[in-house]
Amino acid sequence: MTTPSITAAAAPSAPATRQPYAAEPNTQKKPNIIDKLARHFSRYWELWVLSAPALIFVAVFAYVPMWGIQLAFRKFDPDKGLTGGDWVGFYYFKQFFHSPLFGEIMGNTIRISLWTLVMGFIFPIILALLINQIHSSKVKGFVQTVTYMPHFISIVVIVSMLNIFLTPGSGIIGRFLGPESVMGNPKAITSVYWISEVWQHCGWNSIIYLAALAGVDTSLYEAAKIDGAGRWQLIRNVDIPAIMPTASILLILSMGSVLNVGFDKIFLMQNSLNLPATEVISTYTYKIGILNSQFSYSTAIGLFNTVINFIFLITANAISKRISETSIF
Amino acid sequence: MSAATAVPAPKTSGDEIPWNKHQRQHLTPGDWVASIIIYGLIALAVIAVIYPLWFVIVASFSDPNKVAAGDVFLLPKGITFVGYAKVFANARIWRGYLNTIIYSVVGTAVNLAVTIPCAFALSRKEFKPRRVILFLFTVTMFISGGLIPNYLLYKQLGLLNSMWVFILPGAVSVYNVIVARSFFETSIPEELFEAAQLDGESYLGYFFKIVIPLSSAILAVIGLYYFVGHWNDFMTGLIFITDDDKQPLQVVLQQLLLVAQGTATNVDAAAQQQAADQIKFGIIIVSTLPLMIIYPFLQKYFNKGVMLGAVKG
Amino acid sequence: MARRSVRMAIAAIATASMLIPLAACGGSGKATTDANGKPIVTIQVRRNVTDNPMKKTQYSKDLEAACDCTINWQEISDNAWGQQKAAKMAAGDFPDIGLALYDSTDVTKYSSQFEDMSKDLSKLPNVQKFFKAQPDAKKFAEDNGHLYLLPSDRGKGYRVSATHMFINKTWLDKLGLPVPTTWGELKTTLEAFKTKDPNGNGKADEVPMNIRGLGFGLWSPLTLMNSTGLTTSFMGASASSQGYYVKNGKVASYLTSPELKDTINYLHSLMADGLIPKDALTRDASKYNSQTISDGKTAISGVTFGWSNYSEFGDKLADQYITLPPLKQKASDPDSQVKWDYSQPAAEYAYVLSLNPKTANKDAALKLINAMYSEKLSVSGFYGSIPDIVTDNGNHKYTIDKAKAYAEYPDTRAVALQDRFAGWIPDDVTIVNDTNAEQVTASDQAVRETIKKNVDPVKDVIPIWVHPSSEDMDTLSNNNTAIFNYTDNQLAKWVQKGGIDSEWSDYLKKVKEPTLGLETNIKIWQKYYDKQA
Repeated sequence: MTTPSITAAAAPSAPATRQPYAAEPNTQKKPNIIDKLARHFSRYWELWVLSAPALIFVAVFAYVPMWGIQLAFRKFDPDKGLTGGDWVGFYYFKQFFHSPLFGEIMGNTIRISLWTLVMGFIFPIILALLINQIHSSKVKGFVQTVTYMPHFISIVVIVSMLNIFLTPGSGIIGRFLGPESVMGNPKAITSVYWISEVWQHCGWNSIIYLAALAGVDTSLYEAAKIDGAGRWQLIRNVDIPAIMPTASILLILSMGSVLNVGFDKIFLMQNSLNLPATEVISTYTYKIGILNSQFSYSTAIGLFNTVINFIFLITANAISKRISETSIF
Repeated sequence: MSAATAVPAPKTSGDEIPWNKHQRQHLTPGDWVASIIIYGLIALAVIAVIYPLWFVIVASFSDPNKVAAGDVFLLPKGITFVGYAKVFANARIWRGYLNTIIYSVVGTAVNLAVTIPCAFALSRKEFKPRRVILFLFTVTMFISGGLIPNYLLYKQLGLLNSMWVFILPGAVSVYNVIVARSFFETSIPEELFEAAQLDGESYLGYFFKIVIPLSSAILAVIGLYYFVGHWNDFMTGLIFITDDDKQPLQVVLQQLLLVAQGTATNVDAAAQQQAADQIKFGIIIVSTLPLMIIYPFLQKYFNKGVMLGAVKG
Repeated sequence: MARRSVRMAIAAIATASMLIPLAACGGSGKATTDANGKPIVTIQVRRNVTDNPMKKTQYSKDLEAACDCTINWQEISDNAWGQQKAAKMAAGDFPDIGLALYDSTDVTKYSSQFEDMSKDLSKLPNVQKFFKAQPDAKKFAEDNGHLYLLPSDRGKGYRVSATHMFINKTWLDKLGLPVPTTWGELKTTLEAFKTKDPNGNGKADEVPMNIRGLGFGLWSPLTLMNSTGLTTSFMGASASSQGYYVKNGKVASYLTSPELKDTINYLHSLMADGLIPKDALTRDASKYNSQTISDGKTAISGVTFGWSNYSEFGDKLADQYITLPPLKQKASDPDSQVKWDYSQPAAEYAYVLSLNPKTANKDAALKLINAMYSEKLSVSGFYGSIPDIVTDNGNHKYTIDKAKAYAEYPDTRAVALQDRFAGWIPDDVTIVNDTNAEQVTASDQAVRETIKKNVDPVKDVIPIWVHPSSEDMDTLSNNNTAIFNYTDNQLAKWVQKGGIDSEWSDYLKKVKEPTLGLETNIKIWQKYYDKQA
């Protein structure tokens, strides 16, 4: 609140009173907005309080570091700090587009991530629907407990397990796959990647669907049954609609990571034989940024990646909003 | 209801009895086929998951050379406990365990305290700013400043080399906010809010008295998500912690593994490699066992929680 | 109403309390003196084992006495350092004294963060003595007259090639075979290893030749290129590790050399005949180790590339192996064509010390550095504190207590800084029980004559003291990333499946394409080689 004298000076026609929103024809609209805000806060202040901690954390830990993105447009100068370097515009983006590796990296990234995205989306739903069909709660618990377990294994171990299992000749799977290692085959490595991803996370990712399925009103089943629905119809007409909202949200979110291939795993899976199929944006950025300390270049590649992802996310959200009225914002 | 039952079942004869989860009933041939397919697929999935895990357990007790040569299948061969002895003889493992437990428990508590209220607020349709907030939240899932700005920020805040670096930067997972928000929107009936309003409850009263008790399912699910995230968090320790006695279990185990394996960049890498494989398998068991023990308890709990959520009508 | 406001208060407190640690820890500069007013010097060291904190060692106390300061040790593991280094440097996070943290690439990028110690040499008499005794060390460290990094000298025990080729002598003797001297003989020998069950366990589990991978780095089978007349220097950040060599004063790339083609062809012929494991290029390291160290009783591997026979095969099998003297490609080749991997300077002076120019207590830091380069503290830094672990027998002779030093590891990494130390162990020092040096020196004997006679440290390799500028470094590494992305795969494919003869000319065309930048890189190296070598 301003002091009365200033108020008076700024708005001479208005009496310096504590009811500033009274008759003031010129600023009719402004008081309305303030009024609206006041009403909004008096009505919803509790919701603001509830969301405040999260807002603060997101602002501090996600938005503050974003000023670093300008590094993509500047030549990094260690003496002047992150934002002190010379402005070079899109130099580093052009460098990436003209890199002889650009085509290969984009192709690999999209191929690996799309396979993983689609399969990683479908399998947990199937598994959840299957598990939901089990009547005995003991069996159900057992199957759930078993299928979630791989989720807890660290990536380093997963990759070394892959190596052991796929060893030609002696590996449990490798012995059936001919004399050449699958890990070194650029054509097969994508499948190795997504199958192992599905293997590891399918059970875990089905949890969220099972929670949704468990929440289905049992009377719905009864009603459907009365209408003569068989098991398949129950799945199709009751279960699937029940998980649709969850599924669409998860799908939209995953569309935002179209160009993201988790770094650790693919990096550990790389070897000189499969490199033409496994060099992806994240591994390339790592090599450029962390190993070669070229922060501007790696930030530019990262930003490019982000922009593409974001476009996909917005598009998917818009489509979903129109079709199924489900959206994340 | 009565009208529906009166209509003769068009295809199957067993349909007169409303289907009931708790009652045995006649199965049609179609249902039998369905059952066989369903259980067949489930069995397949279980085997596909369980065998490699079983292998890890067996391998952790077996002669590493036999494992590498592919001689080990179902039962351990050349039983030895070298790997476990190595893992447990290391005092740093215990320190790492303690650290991880502290980070995970405190971290998850903070996560839930921040995430759940926010998700509830964002689930209220009449709360207009929620769209903007959600958008701003979602943006952060895809755009980040990158390692260097984060590092500088943590340095400024004094988080480097402190336990808070495990807890505060990741206090809000936007993904989990969205999941929890969907739960509140779809699983808590709106009538409850109207009833609460009639009783003169405010948002806070409604949230604490009515929503929270009905939300054990989502608390368990989100809590587990966060907990597992903390438990397996490896990069944070690696990048932001320099003191060894503050490192979490995952980093300690990783170091143990690297030392055992020898690193190719070090010319003096020595001949301590025999146990490397076994250590690796031992480490999977040691580091994942606690999670595997916790889960069944939570699972029961949140199955019950989901039921509670569904009872409302 | 009252309850509501209580709740609100709780919520507010909860929110605020979460932010307290943020506020409390922020800002406030670090103290530069301890409680007694002594200056504090921070030493950050990268170690591969951090079980025994340096702070507690007598070595640290001796250093503190010498500089009249308090040392704040920060120990960081190799693994963590690899991840943190880039961020720490960009954030301007440099310790007062850094041990084994940086290399010349970092100096070119962040030159303002490194003290030019050539100006401080008057305060570092021990370092001056070191440079006088070892002019090569000075040359290695000097950068246009500046001295941003001080090298360390591990002593004559480590003046070795970092890569040796080992062969199982027990097997040779058992089969009545001579030590092979040419590629052809080696192949015949390997075939015998494969078929004649030299380890005598009745199983065909022998791995005639075992390799870690395929690249221009430590312990690579491409060291065989030395048979063809090219010289390698596969250690550290050498030009050779990036694929560049020099012949008759001209810089060239291994990647386009017919010598590389011959070597790949040879390796393929070995793999095609099952003499190198088929999964050698895809498996992880533990498998390799399980085949070299084996179970400690039955040897499985015939020929490998590594540091010393002890580090390759473990205590129990090491005695079966000898170092293979450098092979000729063909028997008819002249003796002078045979070279061997020249990595002596990198192996002896491996890691360096750096000083932060902004350090608050520079005098204390310089005193400390000078103390580190004294004979006694160099020995304690590398092998373990005197008298706890190492005994000073007088007359430059020191004895390591084996039981204490090697309780956990076969070298002194657990009890001392070991190779991450800063210091100079003069040639007149004798260390008793330095098993690592004894073993590698023994392994090195077989290649010494070849290197002495046939390798010119300046004319055959780009010496490691040739440092391109920061800008050129970026160009080099970006181009190398693109080049290796293509060539790594080609080379691996040819070793695995063959076909190099028919595809070689297409490959050459592609590698030489201007967009990949091989020519640019060669020009850059040529420029600095001409200027600095």
